[in-house]
Amino acid sequence: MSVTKVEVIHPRPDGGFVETPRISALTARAIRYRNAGYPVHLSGPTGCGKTTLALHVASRIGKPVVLINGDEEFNTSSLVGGQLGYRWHKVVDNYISRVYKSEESMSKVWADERLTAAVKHGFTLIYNEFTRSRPEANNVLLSVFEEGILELPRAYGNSHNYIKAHPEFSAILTSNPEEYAGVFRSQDALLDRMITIETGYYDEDTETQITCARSGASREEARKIVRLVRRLRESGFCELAPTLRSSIIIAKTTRDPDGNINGDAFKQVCVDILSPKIGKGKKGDTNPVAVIEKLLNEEGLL
Amino acid sequence: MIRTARDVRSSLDIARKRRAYCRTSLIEQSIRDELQREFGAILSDDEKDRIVAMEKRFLKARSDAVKKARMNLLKQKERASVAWSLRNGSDPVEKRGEQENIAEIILRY
Repeated sequence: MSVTKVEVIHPRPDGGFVETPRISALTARAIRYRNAGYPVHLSGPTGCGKTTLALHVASRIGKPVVLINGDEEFNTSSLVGGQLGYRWHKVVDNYISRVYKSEESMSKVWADERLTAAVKHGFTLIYNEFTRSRPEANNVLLSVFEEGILELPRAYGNSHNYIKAHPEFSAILTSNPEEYAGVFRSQDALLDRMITIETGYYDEDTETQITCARSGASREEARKIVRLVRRLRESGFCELAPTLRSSIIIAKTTRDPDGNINGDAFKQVCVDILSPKIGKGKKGDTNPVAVIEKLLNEEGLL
Repeated sequence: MIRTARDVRSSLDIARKRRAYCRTSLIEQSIRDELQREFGAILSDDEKDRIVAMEKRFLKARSDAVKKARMNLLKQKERASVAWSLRNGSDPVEKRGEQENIAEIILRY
């Protein structure tokens, strides 16, 4: 006996999503591999838009989405489901008044988790940051991706221990190869079963359009901020590379109602947002404020 | 190989069914030709159409009746199956509910 309580997501692009040629090309590649029956793995640094791209690809596929965020605490039952409790059943048969017949039974109740639901019903699985789960938790994915069957423990149902994957089932996984905290190395067998697309950071024009759309800043102001952030990213000063997220935060917090950058607060916001990325520098002798001021001067933003 | 009267009869039957020419069929053909010359076609096209339509109606009615009988039979089996599964601790109504127990939310990205 099983109980299924699953929430599915229908991803929809809002006004803050822009589809530049770069994003269209990545989406087309992902959909091509998915249509050929392979899981897609989007790999890239923090803040490069992997999750949004995964949602966009899923939206284009058009099937309901099941979203899982990788976690160290995950085990196999976190993905496929497990026993939720017990169900007691009693049947009293008194069809012949002088004969009293009763039957009692107790069975364990199974609850499907998101992977099982996705495999059963043909949903699109987005497994975000899957390397944050322990590799042994992800072992169950091996047979799903290769043989198209999900192996379930004996406790599932009465007779079935395997579920054949729905023909429409597809999987999009994301991971950050540069992350070092709270992540595990994925098993080669799993990586070998999926097609990895290195997303990397977007080009300047794409980052500008996204910053513009997300923050409401004017195109020109967004471009200036993106240039500043990209220069800092490529400068080699940073302990942690500033991302598109930094550009959006700066643009959102410094723009006035007309979409222009508010000059008074701009430098302070840039220092607040960007200096933690620089830290003390790789050698430990860097002054973050000085680096940011220098870049602002060079970009003509002061 | 010994041939019996039964073998001979059965081979004759086969020959007749395959419309092999025999004396009887030749006599029938000559009578048919003679009568057709005298009275015209044995069955007119209209009459053939009417017979075909009637036969089609009959075949359809028979097919419908067979389908209905089979449906009744399957209903009986299904009723028995539902009762049997309930007595064995599996509630078909709850199982059906599993499919519908999927909540949907819209996520804007």
